[in-house]
Amino acid sequence: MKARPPGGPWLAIDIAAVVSVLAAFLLALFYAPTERTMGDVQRIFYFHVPSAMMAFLGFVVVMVGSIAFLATGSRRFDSLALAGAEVGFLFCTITLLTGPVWARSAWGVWWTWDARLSTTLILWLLYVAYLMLRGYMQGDVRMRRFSAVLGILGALDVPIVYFSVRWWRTQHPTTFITERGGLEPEMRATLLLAMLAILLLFVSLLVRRIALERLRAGRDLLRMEIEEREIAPAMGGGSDRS
Amino acid sequence: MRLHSKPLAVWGLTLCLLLGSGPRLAASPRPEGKGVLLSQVDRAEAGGGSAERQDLNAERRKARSRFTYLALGYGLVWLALGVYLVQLHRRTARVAYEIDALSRRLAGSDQDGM
Repeated sequence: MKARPPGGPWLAIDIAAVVSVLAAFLLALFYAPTERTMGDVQRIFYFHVPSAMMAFLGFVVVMVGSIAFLATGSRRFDSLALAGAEVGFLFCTITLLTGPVWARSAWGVWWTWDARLSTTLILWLLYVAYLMLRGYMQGDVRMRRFSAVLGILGALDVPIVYFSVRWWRTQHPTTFITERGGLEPEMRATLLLAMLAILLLFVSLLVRRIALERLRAGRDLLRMEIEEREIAPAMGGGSDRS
Repeated sequence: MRLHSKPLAVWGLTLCLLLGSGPRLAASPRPEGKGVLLSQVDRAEAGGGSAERQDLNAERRKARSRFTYLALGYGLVWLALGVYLVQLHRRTARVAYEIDALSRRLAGSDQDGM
């Protein structure tokens, strides 16, 4: 078995992700205008919001992979769910790191038990629970089913996080207000590019993570084959003796 | 082990550029207020009123503080991405190494069998 990285179009996505993330970073710093009340710190928003979206998308991938795994029993879907959880966890962590930095400057506190913040923390903890379950019960078939159920249940938190700013009174901003209301065109363009960049990065990381799971599956097959070859003669010898 | 070396090299280079010698940023106030503020700086340096100077210093401190938070925010983004990429690469390299070792072992047992 040859260990090969995903190439072709996936390599193009890797390159596109690097270029677009770099472009979004530069636009966020130098092109987007400075927000009226919050100043420069508002520029965190261009990476904070897309990261939050990818944290949601991560759990959507987990849910889709988990449902497909429970329906078909295919390890491929289980790998998809695991990869979605890990990459989603990364972006959820970025969201929870950048949010408090902005909050410290805008609200004067690092953290407050606001509905949006609390539900996002719960989402992060669900990711942690999912990944810990996977880590503790490696290779167990029941573990795959348990984690699939947890993945589906965890995805239920995504709409709660998203609509929390509408359902409860919250400090968390929904839009950034300027004189005309809504986002300035330069801000909107920067945000859209950042969204695209982070989406490409998400896909790129997801593909790499799925490739790792595929390698692990190949390694497990090789191990089984070697064990069979080593055990079979021993078993044969035993039966001859008896 | 040459697994995933190209894209990771691109990622690594990008991160090094951004973390090591990233773009120099000025804690600039909003563009529309820039001219006014610069003229205030000139006047303050030329011995302008103390209240004006205090306002200016407060505005500068605020801008510097906001820029610090911005740098911290982006620093954390790149740090999280960098740590994850390095970790993913190490795990992939380890599994690829194990596959190579197992393949050699399997090939060796094939030769012994013959």
